[in-house]
Formats: sequence, C-alpha cells, structure tokens
Amino acid sequence: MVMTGGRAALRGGDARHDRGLEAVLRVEGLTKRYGRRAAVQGLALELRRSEVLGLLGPNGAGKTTAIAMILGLVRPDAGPIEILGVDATRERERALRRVGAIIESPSFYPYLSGIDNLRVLALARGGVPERRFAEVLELVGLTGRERERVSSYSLGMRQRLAIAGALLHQPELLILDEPTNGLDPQGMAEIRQLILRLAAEGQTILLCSHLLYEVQQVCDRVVILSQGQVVAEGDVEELLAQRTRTALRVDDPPRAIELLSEVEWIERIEQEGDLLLLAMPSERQFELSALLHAHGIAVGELRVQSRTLEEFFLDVTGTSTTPGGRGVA
Amino acid sequence: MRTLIRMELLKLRKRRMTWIMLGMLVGLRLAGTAFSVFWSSQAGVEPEIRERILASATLPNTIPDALNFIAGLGAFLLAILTAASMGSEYSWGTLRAIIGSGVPRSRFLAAKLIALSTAAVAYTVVPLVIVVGAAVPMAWLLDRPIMASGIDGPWVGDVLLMMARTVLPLLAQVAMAFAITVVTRSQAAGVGVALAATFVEPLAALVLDMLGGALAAIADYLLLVNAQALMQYNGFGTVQVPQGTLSQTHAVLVILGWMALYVTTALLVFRRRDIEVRSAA
Repeated sequence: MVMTGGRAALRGGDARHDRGLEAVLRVEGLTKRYGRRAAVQGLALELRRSEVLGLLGPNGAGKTTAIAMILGLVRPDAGPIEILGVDATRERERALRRVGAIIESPSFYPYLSGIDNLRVLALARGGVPERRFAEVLELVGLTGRERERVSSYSLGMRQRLAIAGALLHQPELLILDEPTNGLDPQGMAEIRQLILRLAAEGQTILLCSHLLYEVQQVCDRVVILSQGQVVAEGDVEELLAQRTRTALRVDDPPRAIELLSEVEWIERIEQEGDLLLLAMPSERQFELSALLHAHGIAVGELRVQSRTLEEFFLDVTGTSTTPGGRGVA
Repeated sequence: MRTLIRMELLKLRKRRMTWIMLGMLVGLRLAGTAFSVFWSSQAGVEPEIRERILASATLPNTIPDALNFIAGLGAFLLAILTAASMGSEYSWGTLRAIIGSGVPRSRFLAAKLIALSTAAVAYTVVPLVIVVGAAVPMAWLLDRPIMASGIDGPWVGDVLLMMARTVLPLLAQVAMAFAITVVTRSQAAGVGVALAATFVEPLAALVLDMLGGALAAIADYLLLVNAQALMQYNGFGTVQVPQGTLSQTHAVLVILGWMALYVTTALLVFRRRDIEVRSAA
C-alpha cells in the first residue's frame, strides 16, 4: 500500500498524533427512506476527536443524505444522532452550535460580497468577533477579495469562502461534503492542503468525497457506503492491508483460472493481459505456489501487489464484477 | 432572535430589488401626481375634476390619496419582494447553510417575516414622507395654501390610523406571498399566485354577490374585499363610506385571520418538510 506525503508525512509530528477517545459524532442505525428505496440504511459511525473520517461512496450511495440528516436538514426515519454528547434530533440547535459544515455546492447570496456572506453566517450563529472574519479569510487565502461580490468569484474561491464560513465560529466538528467538487487540479490541491493543515492542528473532520486519492491523503479512517449501506470501514492502512492482491504470472492462464476458481480462500480473480490478480490472504502465497506446481502450472511471477484505496473501493462496492461472479476479466 | 432579524434585514437592505421597488413606488406616485396636475390644467377639464386633482396633490388630501396608491401598487411590489426573498433561499441553496447551522426553523421564518414586515412599513412611510414633502412646493406652484387646516392631535391621530389601515393589508399580502412561496418552494409561484389573487378575488366576490344568499356572505370574508373596505375609511375626521361597506372591526379581524392562517400554514409546512439536497433521493 502506498501512502505518499499527506497524512503519512504528518503522522510523525502533528498535533493529532495522539487521537482522542471522545466521540465527537456518533450515529447508530441511521436510516432514511424515500418511498421504498432506502437512501441510507442502518448507518453506524463514530468520529473521535481530532480524527479525520472519510465517508466514501459512489454517486447515490447516501453520503450527502447522511450528512443532511446529521445537520437536521432531512428528518431520519430511524437512528439517533449524537454530536458532542448532545442528541441532535432533540436539541438540534445546541448540537449544531459547535459544528461547521459545507453540504453540496457552496451556497451564497450572489449579490452580497464575500465578507457580507460571512456576516450573514455569523449572525445566524449569534455573531462572532469582528477580528474572526480577517482570520478565516486569511486562512483560506481570500484576503483582499472579501469585498467583491460572490457572483464574481470563481468556483475555487467559493469553495474557500464556504470553508471560511464553516470555520467562523471555531467549530469542534467540521463536516465537508465534496469540498473539491468542480475544482481544477490546482484548486483541488489547495483545498487538500488546507484540509491537511486543519487536520494537523487537531481539527475533527468528517470528509465526504468520491475522490479516493484525496481521501487516502487526508483521512485516518474511512466508512464506505454503497446503496445506502456500509460495506467497509476501518483505518485506511488496515483496510488496504486486508485486501491486498496477489499478482500471478503463469504459463497457462486459462488452466490456472479454472483451477483457482475452485479454491475457497481465493475470493476473486481478475485478469489483466497475462497477469492474474487474486484477492486472497497474502500469507497463503506458498500454498498457492504449491497448488499450481502440483497441477503442472509453471509460475513466472508471484508477488503481493499494493492496492490503492480506489482499487479497494471498487472491489468492495462491487463495481468491477464480471460474469461468473468471480471477477475474471 | 435579534441577530436573526439583523441577518434578514442585512439581506434585504443590501438587495438592489428592495430599493428599486421602493423607488418605483415613490417615482410612480410623484410622476402620476405631476401628470395629473398638468393634465388638469388643460382646457376642457371640468372645474370639479380639476379641483379634486389639485386637492389630492396638496395637503392634506394627498395623504389618504397617496396611501391608497401605496396600498395598491405596494401590495404588488411587496408580493414580489417577499417571494423573491424566500424563493431565492431555495434556489440559491442558502437555506441549507442557514438551517444547517442549527438555526431553529420557526425562528428563521419568524425573523424573515419580521424583516419583510419592516419592509412593508418602510414601503408605506418612506413614500408618504416624500409625497408629503413634495406637496409643499406643489402647493406653492399651484398657488394654494400648504395646509388647509392646522396640525393638531386629532389630525396626527388620523394620519397614524390611515397608515395603520394601509400597512395591515400590506402585511397580509406579505403573509400570503410568503406562505405560497414556502409551500411551493417557488419564487414564481409566490409572485404569480399572490398577483393572480388580486384579480381573481374581486371577480369571485362579484360572482358570489350575484349568487346571493349564503354565498354572498362568503365574499365578506375574502382578504382583498376586506382590505379594500378598510381603505375606504382613510380620511380626516369622520369619513362617509358607501352603504354596505364592511365595518372596520370586521375588516381588521378578517385580515388578521387570513394573516394567521398564512403564517401558520407556512410554519407547519416548513417545520415538517425536509430541506432538499440535490444528491438525496
């Protein structure tokens, strides 16, 4: 598993190295149905202090619906939501007082300037000290542009202003729903660096994204949704270690596939050219080699292949299945 | 709650539409008065009509006359402003940001209504003050006395009552446009239905009257019928109203009843309904 820069580089010396045990956000059995379709089904997650939790899933998986329920925009059909020990379904105002959030695309009053939009958000929360506006604008790199109308802002500027708005009242929990949505690569990199910086300072973050490279860079743990349900969760590194793949090159791929399809501890077989990729416990390599040798199949290459979060994600969400249910390409 | 009201007033104050509408109200009234005075000076205009026009351009009659104008056009403009103010929260997605910050829904609605009501009062007071101010040079130009009579307590009381009679129906119009926009989540529907009601209701009242009996009594409980009835009482001293005009008490109670209905409907719908996020459902 490769984890370059980003979170790995930060682990050694950042303020979040000792992650807290206090649960900042806890949901249990969170469910929302629209007619017969369950947009979210039995979601359970816990976000600890100073942790960055990634909430992943393909489009329509239920990520935004889950966040909308946490923020009280959508009424859940079932499941308590607890924010910093407060029942958010009963005491929404008190629970959300210490939460800052961006949900979906950044939304502002286009006829107002950047700073006036921040003032509106500040007044919605009962007001913030005047100096705080300058602080958040500087944090997101919008100093000098705050008096321009938001209608003249680029998408990247709006995203940054949205983050500034979410940080105005110094929240204990920051919820970011697709914060790099629609940005160019430079914009995405800037936002990512900002999130990393916030995380390094100990900010607790729930990051909702379908950009897996970004999540891998930033998140400590992930929860993966598919069709409203959790299909995987855990530490990024541990998840990737569980689902490593074994790359195999043999002299007779069709025979090998036929043989290995019957092996119960091989979950999945994919073929890329003359390379077979097996989803199996990495410690059974020797067993695999012996099995192939016993059936007269010569092994040219056998190695454990690191997986990216994207590959893991596609695997658990079942978006790379092939006929036969064994994933043979 | 105070900061929420400040928030809503900030949004209204900084919105160009608010000032454009107010400018239209003032400008059209002044232009209309100027044109009427000019037209009345033409040959062939009957002396009685000329006198009525000149009286309405100068104090004190310009006051009830201006308030009637404000009640008419102001209702249109406030319906548009109200629908835009609430409808754009949906279309811009700003509702997500505000409610998602933990603001209680009922308090948000209340703050918005209070701010819009403030606009309704401003749309009454500001044009009236300007029109009254314009009546002074107008009187000088027309070689008429600035004030036909002195300003005393009863006079001031009459003016305040006239303003109250004007503001109340405007508030009801705000409540109607607001409720329709909240229920439909559409700025266009809020404007359209509120404006359509202005035309449809008088027709409905006429038809109900013609049908007679119990149906005719229903007309006595329509909003605009009562708003118009209330405006009939605008004037100085004891005002002679046409026979059959609904009493002020009846009119006020009906208007308040409709306002309560609209506000309650908006509140109930808004509190229960999910605020849509595009990725959901």
